[in-house]
Amino acid sequence: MTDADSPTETETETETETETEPDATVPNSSPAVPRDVEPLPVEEAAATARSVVENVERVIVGHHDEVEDVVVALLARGHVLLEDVPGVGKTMLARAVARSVDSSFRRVQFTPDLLPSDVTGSNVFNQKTREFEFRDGPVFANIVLGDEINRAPPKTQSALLEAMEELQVTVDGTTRPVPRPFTVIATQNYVEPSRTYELPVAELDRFMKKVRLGYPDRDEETEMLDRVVGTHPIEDLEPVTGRDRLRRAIAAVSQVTTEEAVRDYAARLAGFTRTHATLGASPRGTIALLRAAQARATLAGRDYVVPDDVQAEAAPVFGHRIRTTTDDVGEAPDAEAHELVEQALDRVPVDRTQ
Amino acid sequence: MSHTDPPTPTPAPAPQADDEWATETGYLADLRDTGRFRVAALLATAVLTWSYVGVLRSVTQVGGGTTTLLPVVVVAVLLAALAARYVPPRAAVAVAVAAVVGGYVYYLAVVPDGVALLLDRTGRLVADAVTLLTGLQVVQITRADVWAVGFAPGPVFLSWYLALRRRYLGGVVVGGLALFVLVLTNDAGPVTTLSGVLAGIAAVGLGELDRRGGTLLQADVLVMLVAVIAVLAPTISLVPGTPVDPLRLNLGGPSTVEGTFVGSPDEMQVVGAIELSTEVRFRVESDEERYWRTGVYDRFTGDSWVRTGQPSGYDGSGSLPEPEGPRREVVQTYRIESQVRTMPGVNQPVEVIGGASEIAEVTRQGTLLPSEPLIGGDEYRVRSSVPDAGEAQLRRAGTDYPAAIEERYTRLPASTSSEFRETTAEITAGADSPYEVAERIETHLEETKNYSTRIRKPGGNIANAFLLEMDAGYCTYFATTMVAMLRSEGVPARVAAGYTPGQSVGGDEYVVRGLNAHIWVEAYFPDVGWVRFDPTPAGPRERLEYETVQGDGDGDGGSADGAGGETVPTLTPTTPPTTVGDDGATVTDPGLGTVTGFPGERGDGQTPPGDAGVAGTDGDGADGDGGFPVPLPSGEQTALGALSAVGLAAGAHRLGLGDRVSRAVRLRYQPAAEPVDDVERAADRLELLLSERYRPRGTGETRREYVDALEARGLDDRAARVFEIYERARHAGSVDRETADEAVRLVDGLVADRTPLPGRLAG
Repeated sequence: MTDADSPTETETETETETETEPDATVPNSSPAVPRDVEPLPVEEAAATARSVVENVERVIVGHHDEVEDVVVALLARGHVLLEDVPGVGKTMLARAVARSVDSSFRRVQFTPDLLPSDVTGSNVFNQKTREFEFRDGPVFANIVLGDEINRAPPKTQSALLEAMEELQVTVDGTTRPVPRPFTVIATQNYVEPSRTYELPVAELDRFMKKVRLGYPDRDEETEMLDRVVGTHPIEDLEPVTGRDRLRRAIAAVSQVTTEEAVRDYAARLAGFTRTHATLGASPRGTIALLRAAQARATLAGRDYVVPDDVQAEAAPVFGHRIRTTTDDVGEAPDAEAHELVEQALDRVPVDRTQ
Repeated sequence: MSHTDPPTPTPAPAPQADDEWATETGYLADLRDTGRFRVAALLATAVLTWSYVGVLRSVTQVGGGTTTLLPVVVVAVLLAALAARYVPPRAAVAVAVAAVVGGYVYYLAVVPDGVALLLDRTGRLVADAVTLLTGLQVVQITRADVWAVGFAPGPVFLSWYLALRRRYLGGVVVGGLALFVLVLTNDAGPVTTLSGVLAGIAAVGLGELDRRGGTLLQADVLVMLVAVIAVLAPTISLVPGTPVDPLRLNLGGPSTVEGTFVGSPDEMQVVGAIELSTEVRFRVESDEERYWRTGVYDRFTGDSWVRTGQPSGYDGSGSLPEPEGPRREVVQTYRIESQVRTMPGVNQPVEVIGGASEIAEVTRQGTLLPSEPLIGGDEYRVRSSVPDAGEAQLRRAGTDYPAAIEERYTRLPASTSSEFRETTAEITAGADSPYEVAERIETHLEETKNYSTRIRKPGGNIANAFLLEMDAGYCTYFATTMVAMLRSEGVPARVAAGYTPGQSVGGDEYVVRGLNAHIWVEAYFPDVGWVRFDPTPAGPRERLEYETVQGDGDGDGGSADGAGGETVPTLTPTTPPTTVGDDGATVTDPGLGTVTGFPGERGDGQTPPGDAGVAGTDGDGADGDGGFPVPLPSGEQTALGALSAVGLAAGAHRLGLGDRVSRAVRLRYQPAAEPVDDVERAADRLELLLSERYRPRGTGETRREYVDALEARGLDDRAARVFEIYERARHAGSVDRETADEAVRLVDGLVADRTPLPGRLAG
């Protein structure tokens, strides 16, 4: 693909928002939700989130848990890495989520010759005005799909990763914030490892979750085929919520109570992975876990986190951050890591006193 | 090799072999978790090994010690460690069998005529083996040391081979069989056997924990088992009335002098404090007042005496040899009053007359033995030929001993210290004849040692301890020490057991009671025979005089001896062996000191010995051996008590008693506090209740998962509600008083439902 530099699927508004709230006192954490956003009551936030999940499931058959995972990440202001073999619906999932929340969506197809400016945008000389003007890249959207992110060289990857972490893009010395909400859904497959640039651990760490879709079972696949006969349902998918309402739902997540016992539990889970693997979950991972647990609680209509929320999020949040000695390149990566997380859930006492 | 520091050959190679083995077979990872049990199991195997090797070692020590046994055992263990890696089990078993057979052949080859015996009279060998397994002690075998060296390698090799290959059960079976053989031969004492058995059980149990990766807490059953066995085995006798008493809690073993040789005629134990029995054993009608001998013992093991050789049947008149020198005939008629396993007869019996001659057997030492116990009413006559040599002849007798006598009667155990030999040599320095040697030893013992039945048995070699360390003892100690001293000077000697003349009841009749039991010395003189010496001081008089006039003899006693017509050549001027008053009344056994309580009454002589015995016993406690009878727990008792406690603790752990009690309390304990704390406490109680009713919550299981799982099994709705309240209280951080009280009330109700009676009482 030679002219991959053209972001082919850019639709809806691509306006740039201007609020900046660099509340980055916590290391490597995304800035907090803007204060001018009124949080939704938790029940309404839950209803909104559920409606998104239901809507997406009209397109994505048989991946309820994964759809929830992605929506939770969206609520938690996290980014998702979808990893699987080609053709299981990674891109479709990302598009369906973007459509459901009525937000801007752009897609970047990563290729070996993709340049950083193809992601961020660049200053272009305007013949009429005789001056340079910034033409923004695909990163300026609420939901950015980075397809096959591991096919591009690290420099290009890092352009996206900067935006993910800093919520801003710097081109020619000018820093521009990305729109809110901002969620990157990147995909990668592991079937041709020799032709990829594997994401370094430090960059993997910036994804809140890594989700694998897997093949649908036979019934699900049959149903899926049934739905796609004629027009693809994605074309008819209607938004179920607006972008502002989504932002208020996201603000509601931040209000969810996290008592000391739960925080302690998350920390002990992370500690377990650190003592049982060559590389355990990072503190950023623990933060991501708690935030994901908050979003999970919101999805359940609760304004407080229970250990179950932490347990539900532990595998997708920790899985890709753990390196075990026997990790094999190739098929089923992270199998060992997921096993370790399962062990942690089994063996780390839920209550400290237990 | 010094006998004072017992080497420990077996445990040392164990951990090393363990490591090597583990590495070789890739068990290293396994070792990290279970290595402790493996080491412990091998240590237990080592203790088991030591239990029978130790017995074999003590057997060889009796014959003067051997340097071969322990190296042989060490080599066997090392070979086992090697073989465990390279040799398949079948071959190892073959090697072990070959070692056992080879050891026996070696024994036969060393023993005179052994091989001929093997070729000619296989039946005899089988009979010997049967005899051995039915109670003949290994110590009684002619060349016990050779037998022990031949016996040891096979079982040691095979048991270690199996244990190192983690087949602990097999290893313990092999080691246990070896110990069992020694138990059958009566060589392994109760303590040794018990420790061997316990070690075997521990090895099997720990081995299982090792093989299956058990944890320390799972060892509680094993600990309990070991403790139960250790406590029950010595306190409960399996067969009531067996001659060998179970190890008593006072650990006295036989508690009378009589008991030390009557219970098991092949062996005479040396014990600590003794009691006196007034029961009449038999009556004797005799021409002369003599010591009624029931047996002699030739082999000294260091802490007991053993009679070697098997008795043979009595072949009638003329079959028994007479003393070589001048002799005098004494005919005695015995009437048994209470059952005895011995057959008294004055040295040296030459003929048994009467019904008892049917069951009479003759030991190799020339004493009589009934093949079955004599019971009350049995009567028999013994014609004895008493050596009748004067002092002059004894002094002249010289040292031209027959080889067989010298070989058998001058051996000392290896535990005999050089200090003992030196002290003996000093005491007897300058003596110009064996008789004088004997005389000086007798005098020395009488003058330097007090008489007491209230003593504690020393550890190790009795003769060493008595000569060098102890101040007092009774006849057994005096006789044992004198024989050891005589032997160390090359004079053939042995101890004799039996009874002093007893109470004279008119004419030539004597009543002999249990308290008349006595141990004395017989020394051999060429052309004379076995001559009696009695080094035990003559009781109360001696003691009183010893306290007042140090070292002064009792002339009265001497004259009494003369008047009594004692012709036994123990004519030491200071102390006659037995005391016969001028008036004919007999003061009972001086050796036992029965009349300690009334020294002044010697003159009236009318006190019945039985009463004297009782009074003496009473008096004994108060007469200055001061404070000894205060029943302090012995080391063994303390150990038993500690074991019981450990066993009880393990049992309580197994039954979860501590947990139960604390559960019962925790289930009901609900102190009033802040609402959040109340709810938390209530939820804890509920969880405790549910863990009993259903199952405990898993380690990584949240309460929600727990409730969901239990709801499928019919969980009470109230419980779900409590957890709901708890969850809000705990994770939402807010709960009001009312809701908290609701939770507490619900849990109270659930607890009360679960345990109706206490619940109502509390309500």
